Amino acid sequence: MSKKLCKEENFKELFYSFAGQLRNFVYYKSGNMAQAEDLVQDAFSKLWENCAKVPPEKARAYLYRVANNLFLNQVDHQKVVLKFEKRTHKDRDAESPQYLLEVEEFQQRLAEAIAALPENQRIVFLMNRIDKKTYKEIAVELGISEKTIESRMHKALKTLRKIHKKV
Amino acid sequence: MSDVDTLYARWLSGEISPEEEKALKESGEWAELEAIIQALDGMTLPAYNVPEAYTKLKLQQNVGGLARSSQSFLWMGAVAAAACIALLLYFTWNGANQITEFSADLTENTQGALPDGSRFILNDGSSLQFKEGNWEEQRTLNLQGEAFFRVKTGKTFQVHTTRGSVEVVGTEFNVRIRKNVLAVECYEGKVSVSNGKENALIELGESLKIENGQMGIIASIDHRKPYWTQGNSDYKEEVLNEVFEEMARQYSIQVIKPDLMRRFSGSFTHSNISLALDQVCKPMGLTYSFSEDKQIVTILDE
Repeated sequence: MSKKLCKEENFKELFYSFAGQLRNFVYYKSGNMAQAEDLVQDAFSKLWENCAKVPPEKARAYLYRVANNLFLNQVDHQKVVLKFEKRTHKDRDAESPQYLLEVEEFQQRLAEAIAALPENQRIVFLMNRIDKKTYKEIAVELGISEKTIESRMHKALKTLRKIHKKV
Repeated sequence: MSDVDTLYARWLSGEISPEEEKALKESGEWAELEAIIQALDGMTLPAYNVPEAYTKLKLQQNVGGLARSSQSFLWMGAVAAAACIALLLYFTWNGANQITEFSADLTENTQGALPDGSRFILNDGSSLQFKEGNWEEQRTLNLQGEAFFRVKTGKTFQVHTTRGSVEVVGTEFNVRIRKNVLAVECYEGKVSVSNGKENALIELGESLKIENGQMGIIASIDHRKPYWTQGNSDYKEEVLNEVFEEMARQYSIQVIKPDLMRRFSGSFTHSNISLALDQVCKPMGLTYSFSEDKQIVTILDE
């Protein structure tokens, strides 16, 4: 049995490359950033305890599973509210305030609409849009078929398109 | 599952047929989807401080530390834990009393950081001391010479000198202590200066001197950072004796001169001794000569 993850350098590397993505994943579920960051700690903590039993190539799937279970164990599930930050654009200065305000309003409506999506669509959609993962990567990480990912993406976009129509 | 069920997903990943593309454009769906994706491109999540999170995890989980104890080794864990606590107590106690000293050689500035991340630059031949352990509760340090501080906002920050003390909350300021002088220049925020009896508050762009224990008047400064951090010494109405003393310190030379109580306004460079002497002597009607080894400068008052 491989004990690779019991070596701190390997464990640290995994943490550095994956903790952020895992945090986002939990955040997409709950909309609670503090909780998401705590759960990342707990999930990696569990992994360290079981480092001798988890092969490195299964570590990500293991962390997703643990984070998911920990999340489900927490009783207090509230309505999801997602908060995004603005990505700074260099060309923003050139835009009129009126236009920027419209963009902001649209983003606000979009954030609300995403939060209202069914959880499995929301997660897949944001992993693709925010974490910039391909359908294939998401499929591997979540252990579902690529076709299912595409279907969820399609449904998410279909819902969001309707919201855009309301303008 | 039909292709229609994944159409938008394939549009997004660029895997649609020309016919599908045409249909999406004609129906207006293309533009609508485009708007959504564009808006999302401008959205991100708060940054995640990974190193901090990892440190927290290590503290919580003893990652990379001693092997976790199995049943039979539990007692050893307890002993180790007790030893750790004892050591920790020792270090905390010792740390609180440990005095950290920074000093700058005669010809070199020294930069450094205080435990809370506040920064300082020490001028040549200056030093400062502080207690590392209880820094967060008591931001107090002793200073000899001259230093520039950039203070992180937080509890009161005090600089004690033999000529008076300076107190701030979060700001940028310069403190210079010479034989009979304490001079403070404030570059940001507010600084309180005390000679032990009186207090004065100076603000951004102001300076104050305590000469022979006497509070001077508040004057304005026109620079954003002390000149010496940029390789100059700058003076406003400074007694020439002080100016040459500073020059001797900057260049590690000896200056022989008559007693010069006249006051000098201007600056001299830290990079070239001849130029520096010209900068001060010429406007003040003084002449100078070097010893053969260039270690001694003699100043003559014509």
